[in-house]
Amino acid sequence: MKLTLNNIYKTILDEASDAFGDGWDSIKNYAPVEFKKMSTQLKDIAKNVAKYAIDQNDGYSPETGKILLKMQVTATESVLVAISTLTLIAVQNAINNIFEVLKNTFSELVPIL
Amino acid sequence: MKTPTYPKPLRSTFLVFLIVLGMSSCKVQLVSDYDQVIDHGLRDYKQQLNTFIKNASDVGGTKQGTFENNKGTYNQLETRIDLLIDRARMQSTGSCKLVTNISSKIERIMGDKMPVEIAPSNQTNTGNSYGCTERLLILVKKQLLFVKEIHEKADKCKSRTGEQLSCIRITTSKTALDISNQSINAAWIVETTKRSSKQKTN
Repeated sequence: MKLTLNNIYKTILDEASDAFGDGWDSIKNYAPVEFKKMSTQLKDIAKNVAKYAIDQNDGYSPETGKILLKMQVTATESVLVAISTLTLIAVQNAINNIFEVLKNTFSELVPIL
Repeated sequence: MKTPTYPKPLRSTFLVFLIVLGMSSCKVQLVSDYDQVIDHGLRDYKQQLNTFIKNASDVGGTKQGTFENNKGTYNQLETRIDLLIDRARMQSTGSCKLVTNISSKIERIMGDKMPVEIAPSNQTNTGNSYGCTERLLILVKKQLLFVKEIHEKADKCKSRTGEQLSCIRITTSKTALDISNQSINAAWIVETTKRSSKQKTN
């Protein structure tokens, strides 16, 4: 490969979209599923507290519902911290892959390396 | 003395040499390494918690299902997660350092309810992603303490004799496990993603 600005740029661009795409996929798959779960769980809590109000053998008490809501807030924090860390992993992978591919590109052109 | 001048192509080759030399010797590390102990520890913890809560809810309304009768298992689970928190804490150099944008957005949504541990003001340069692993594990423990509170104080089941006993209702156990598993999975996905990234680079 000839060492031109365009070639280097293309190499970086190809590598970045591949590497970041890989990491981004894990976030893209993870985040919506978790947000959907949160909505389902919040609906479940409301539904079960309502059921208990009609029949105390069914659903769960408002006291339990309150604790479950606190649990959902905690789970939301977990998901947000995980998304943030996954983003960092994706960025780290992309940077290192770009470095690696550039190192290989230059090694081919400058055999002494 | 006259300074020697080199032809332009030679100068650029030398520059390329310096860049590549710099690149070949360093790898950027933004997140802590994959930790097999935390990965496997979380898997075992999840398995034990799920089995325990399902079993306890099945015997709700009997002496076997009461909090007093299951206190020992809560202690076991707490110790298990504490060991993982300690391990992450030993390797952490500060608080959980989130991507600044995300941290600020969370603050805008949560306002004064934002946990101090992840507040933007707490995003010091000394933090690393072990701090986040520690935080994720602390949240897993927090969920266990909530389940314990439900079992001990909030949920009641009627025994055959009409007595109100502490228990975990079957309906409660389903929601509580779904939510607890969300926190466990959050910590777990981070470790498994690190593992798969490591395998790809090797």
